[in-house]
Amino acid sequence: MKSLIRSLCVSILGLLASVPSFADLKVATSLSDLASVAQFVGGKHVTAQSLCPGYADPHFVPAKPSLMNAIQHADVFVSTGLELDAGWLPLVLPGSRNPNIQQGAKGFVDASDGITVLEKPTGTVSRAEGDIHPLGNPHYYADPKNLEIVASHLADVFSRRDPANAAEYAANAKAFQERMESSLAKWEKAMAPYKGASIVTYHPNFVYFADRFGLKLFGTVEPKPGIPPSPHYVNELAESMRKAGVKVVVYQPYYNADPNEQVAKRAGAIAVEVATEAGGLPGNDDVFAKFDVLVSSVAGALSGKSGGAR
Amino acid sequence: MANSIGEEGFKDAGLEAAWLTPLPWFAELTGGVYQGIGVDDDHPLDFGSSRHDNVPFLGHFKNQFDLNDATTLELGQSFIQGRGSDADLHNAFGADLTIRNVPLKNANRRGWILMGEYLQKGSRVGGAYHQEQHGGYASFQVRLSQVWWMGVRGEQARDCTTDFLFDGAVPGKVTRGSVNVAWMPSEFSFVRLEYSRANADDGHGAKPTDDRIMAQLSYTIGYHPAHAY
Ligand SMILES: [Zn+2]
Repeated sequence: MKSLIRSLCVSILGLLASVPSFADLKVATSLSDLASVAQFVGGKHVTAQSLCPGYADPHFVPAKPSLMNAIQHADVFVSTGLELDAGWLPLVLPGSRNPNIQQGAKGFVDASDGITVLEKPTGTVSRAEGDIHPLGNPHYYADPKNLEIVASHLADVFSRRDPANAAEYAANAKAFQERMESSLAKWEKAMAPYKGASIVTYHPNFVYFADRFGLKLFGTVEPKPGIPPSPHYVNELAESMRKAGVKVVVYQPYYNADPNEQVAKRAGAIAVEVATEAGGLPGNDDVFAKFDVLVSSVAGALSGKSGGAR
Repeated sequence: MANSIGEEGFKDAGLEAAWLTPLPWFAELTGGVYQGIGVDDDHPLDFGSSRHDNVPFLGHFKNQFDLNDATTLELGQSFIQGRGSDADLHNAFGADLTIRNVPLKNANRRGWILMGEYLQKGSRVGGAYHQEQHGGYASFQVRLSQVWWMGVRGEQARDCTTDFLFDGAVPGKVTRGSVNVAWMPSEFSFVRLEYSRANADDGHGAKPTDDRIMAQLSYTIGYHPAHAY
């Protein structure tokens, strides 16, 4: 028993000793895109980690105690904001017992600050409309321009937490924005032939993407946010797509492929699995790769040539 | 369990503190002291002594490990003790095990939960420990789709006098098995149906059985609640 206690003490001391040096900022986020941006902006002074991998649904992250453990020593927590993480973050943050990153503390960041929010509901939100986002559409990270806003916001936050490296954070954010701008020019060129084309998405998480690249959103495979479609609804949607000549259905890896495939099949369209979050599919590990893959999948599907990533 | 000894039965005035230990897994130690309250429907344990040294306390140790990306193992131990109206020490301890699977890619469509718990009540009179009621349950719930869940559950309580099957005088054994199905059309509502059958045995020849059908309907209005894991 004594030796067990001793070895336990030794391992606890070992753990305390392994806490990284103070020059580094430990950043945790509720979305993989935000971790990717944080890593670009923070460079070598930051380790950024997302509690939600890109292939998991950012609305429904299981509030596992291990997530609370993971952020126990975080210096900064970056929330997507607009209640995208409202289903799990209110349990995980207090569960971490980390006073630095609680809502309202200096280490808590709402990444939606400064974003022009689309689809803000007017009037009261009723439950009859499904699991609607009451503060507006939180899937703003599907527009490259919005990630530029996040980058400069994070540079400010990191500089305040770690003033010694402020110049580096500002320079990294600027480099990120420049790279995003030149990439955007390339993506806009790839999407230009499809301006005005209509697509169907599983969930309303393409609103910002469509807005940026001039696509029309014909409808969603889920009849209301968070509600799976009935066979009747699938038929109706496919029928109206057929009449309107809509040829593309897109859905994320964390949605059930079946209803998307059914709608597409009945409408004579194609269903494409695409990732709107970094790390959602192989080969899109950061936000630039994400848009590379996303743009080529959507453009490929609209050209009628490609089934996209799948 | 109709006569379960939960922390729920004990949420009265008191002081509670939880400490997340620096262990590499999630290990949380909770301790609390409470006001002594006698046994009633809401408080299945008698801590009602008016002795000034009666300070009922509770300790809970919760451990949770990730077995892989999707599966977690949770182990817990609880202990509570206080003085009863009879001035003797009364206590209860429990041990629970939960294995939960939530595949990250299908977090709101698939998964299962295996749970088991053992509870024992006892008292210490004149230095000797007397085991009173004890029992446990095991359950398995599986998510078939975004809207359908089903499950089975078995439980047994021994030396139990508080279940409806006994008139209160003779302690006996109650075994119950149940199956349930739940339909959850949205984040805000569910309908749950359960059928259960119980056998009792008082050890003196009385072996009544009991069949129940339960329907439960729930509708949440207003703010989207966070989902407990
Ligand atoms: Zn959404």
